[in-house]
Amino acid sequence: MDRVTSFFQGDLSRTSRILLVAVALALLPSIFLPVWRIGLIAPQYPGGLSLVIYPHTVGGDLSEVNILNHYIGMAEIEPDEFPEFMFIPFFILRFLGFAVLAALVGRLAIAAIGYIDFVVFGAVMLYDFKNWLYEFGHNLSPSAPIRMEPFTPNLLGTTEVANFTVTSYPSAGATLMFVAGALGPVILFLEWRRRRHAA
Amino acid sequence: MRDRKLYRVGIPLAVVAGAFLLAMSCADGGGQVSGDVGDIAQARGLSQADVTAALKTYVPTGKMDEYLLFSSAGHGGQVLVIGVPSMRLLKVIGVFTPEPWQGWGYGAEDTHLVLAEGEMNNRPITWADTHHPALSETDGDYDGQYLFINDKANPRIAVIDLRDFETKQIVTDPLMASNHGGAFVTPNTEYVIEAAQYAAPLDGSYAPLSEYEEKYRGAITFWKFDRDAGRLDLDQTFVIELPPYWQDLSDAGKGPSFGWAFLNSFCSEMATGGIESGNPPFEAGCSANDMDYLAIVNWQAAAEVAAQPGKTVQIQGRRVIPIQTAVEEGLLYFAPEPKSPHGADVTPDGTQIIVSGKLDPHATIYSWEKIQQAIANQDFSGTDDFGIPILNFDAIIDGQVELGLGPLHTQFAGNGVAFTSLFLEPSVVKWNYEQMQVIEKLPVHYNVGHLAAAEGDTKSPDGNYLVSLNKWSLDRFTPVGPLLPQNFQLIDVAGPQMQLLYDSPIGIGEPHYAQMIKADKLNVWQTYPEIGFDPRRMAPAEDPAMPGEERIERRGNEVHVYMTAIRSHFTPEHIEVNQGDNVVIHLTNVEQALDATHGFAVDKHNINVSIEPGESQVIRFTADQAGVFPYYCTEFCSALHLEMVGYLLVKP
Repeated sequence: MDRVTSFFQGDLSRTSRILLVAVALALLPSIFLPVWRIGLIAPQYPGGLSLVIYPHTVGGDLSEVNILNHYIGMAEIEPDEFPEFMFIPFFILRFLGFAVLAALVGRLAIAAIGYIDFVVFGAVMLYDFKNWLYEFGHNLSPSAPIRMEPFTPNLLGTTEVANFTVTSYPSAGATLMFVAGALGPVILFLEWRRRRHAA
Repeated sequence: MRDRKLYRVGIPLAVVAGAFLLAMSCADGGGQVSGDVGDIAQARGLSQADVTAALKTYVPTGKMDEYLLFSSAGHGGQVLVIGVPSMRLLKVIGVFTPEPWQGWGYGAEDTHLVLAEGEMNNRPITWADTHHPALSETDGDYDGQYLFINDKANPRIAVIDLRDFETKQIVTDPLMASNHGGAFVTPNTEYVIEAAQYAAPLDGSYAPLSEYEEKYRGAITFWKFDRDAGRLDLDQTFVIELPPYWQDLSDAGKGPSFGWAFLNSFCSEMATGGIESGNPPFEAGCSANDMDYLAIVNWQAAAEVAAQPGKTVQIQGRRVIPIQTAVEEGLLYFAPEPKSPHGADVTPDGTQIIVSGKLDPHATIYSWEKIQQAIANQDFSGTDDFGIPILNFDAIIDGQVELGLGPLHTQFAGNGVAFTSLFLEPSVVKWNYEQMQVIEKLPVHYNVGHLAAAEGDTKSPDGNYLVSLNKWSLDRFTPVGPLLPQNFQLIDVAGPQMQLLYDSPIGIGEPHYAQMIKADKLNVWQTYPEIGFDPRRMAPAEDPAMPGEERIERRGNEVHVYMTAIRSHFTPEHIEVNQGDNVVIHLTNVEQALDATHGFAVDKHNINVSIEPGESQVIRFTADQAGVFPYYCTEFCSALHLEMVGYLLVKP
């Protein structure tokens, strides 16, 4: 236990601190960039339709998708009604703050707390997203003109819904967050190796 | 530029490819693809030229035409939009005549307001003899913003906005009995020019034909165009009085001849007909003399004169420069021209004017430089009966070229090449007006009137496509009764030899003229820019129905319905009124998707409105009949289109 405590109490190497700055730089644009994209392809829409999910709202062909969804009795997608959009940008800012602080102070413990915070948040958000997809796919109005079996669009990959092929995949924002997230284990590994050499 | 080069390479390549495929198919009937093409050509009796023509005009699904041809619909009173080279009809724009698909004149208040502008003597006029469309220009080139078109029968001009392809304004010309020399625009669309045809008293009064010379007059109207407003501005419009000759086509000078307009006149004999009384009929009386007059008008100076006090007279609310003032101020000159002229066409560089008439086999080429010199030197051969100076014919022409029988109208291809229609032969003649040489003739089918070349009356013609607007089609199409369609023939003029490519029947009227513009010059809206948009004013509507605010309000005996349309329902779906109520429906299509147009028809009320995505319209009618009237969407908008319906319930 002492070893673990002392490990995290240690200072960060110059390389690790630079990597933490990289984490911060990756997270900064992800506040504004689209996180996820859901593409809808059907013959009547040669260019396809898309829903673009940002940290703070949903964009893209929202009104058209809502018109289509109403035929199967799906609830209207109203960006203002998702509480998540109120705090997600601030959460990203918080992780960014942890990374900057850790880089400035040079303490591994701060970096570690920030990283755990980030990973937990990411997992919760993905679960939340998945949950919303389930909700929208299952809360279908029984009086809808077209009745269909409840469904859950895939978080990642393709789902067939009526005449549409729906493809969901991470966008620039999420990619940057994955990059930032991947740098965590790298820093941990570098620090572990440095301490082992020092010992 | 790059496109044109590609095109010039492309056409020969297509020809070569076609010829190659055909040759291959003849040589080796058992081959795979080539065999198919050859077999098809053989089975259908197609020649090699037919196959190349097909290759040059076929536009496969998903591909688009390179040019748009804006054509008059003749008696149809509308404008036709045709894709080139496929010659597919893309749209009929409702202009002077109600058109149900677009809801043009069937309940939408905006459309009634525009059509009402075209009433004459308080009489609704629901047809038009549309003749000459004119695309707006900037610096002598089409800019793709507006289209103007005249109505010969009821002297009117319409303004069409090429953002949404809808008519925005109709103006009437009370001074004229009919018009023909228009619409033509000046190089920056400063003015839209319209010249009278059959003379009549300008004040609209009665005068016996025995007083023809004293009381009857011609006129040329310069409609000022306010480009920002997208409207012709009556306050700045002026007219020049002309002798009672009949004006034919006109064209505006450009480049060195900027500021001037040229218009033909015929029947300078001032014949008044009366075959039934033993007089020569008009056809003989109007062609008795060898020469008529080309009017040369300084519109730029005329605009300044018209602005000065005391230089104009007011006739029917219009500022008119009298002939005498026009002569004194040096605004108006005549040039003799061979009789019964039709086309007066200014060359792309603006240095020459080409005039041709049905009864003389020559095209006469006037030099702008020589005309200016003759005016400066007062080199006149006399004046006409109205004191208008007549320039010395020999001093102002560069020459005459014998083109053939019945030369009518000229379009340009650049590099001194011109195409002139020969009504009587009937052919299109390709010739060079700089070298004064005929190059080639191509028979057309039949009785060609106007020609429309790709950007062929601008300062930079494209020189690749030409459409021959033929009056008779005779044996060209499967018989459809004694009234035959007109025939638009597409001709490839890019190569050294002209090739006839395609016959396109026009079954709505007799189009006179068309203009062809590169499609990518247009900036077309595919939906209205915001929800609740008024297309007539091209601005947000004043009191539109908006989503979430649908309601029915009673104001005395007026019932206002704020209704939205979205796939697949109207809101509200029930409207209950009392017999005798005035119903005002504020209807908005709240869609934003491409092509998500809804119709709105009220059964038995002569109402059908087209509301395109974003559009808002007001529909007024009196519920004068008690009963039950479904209203429904007339555009098949969605799978539940039939369910897009409501009930108007009128209680007795």
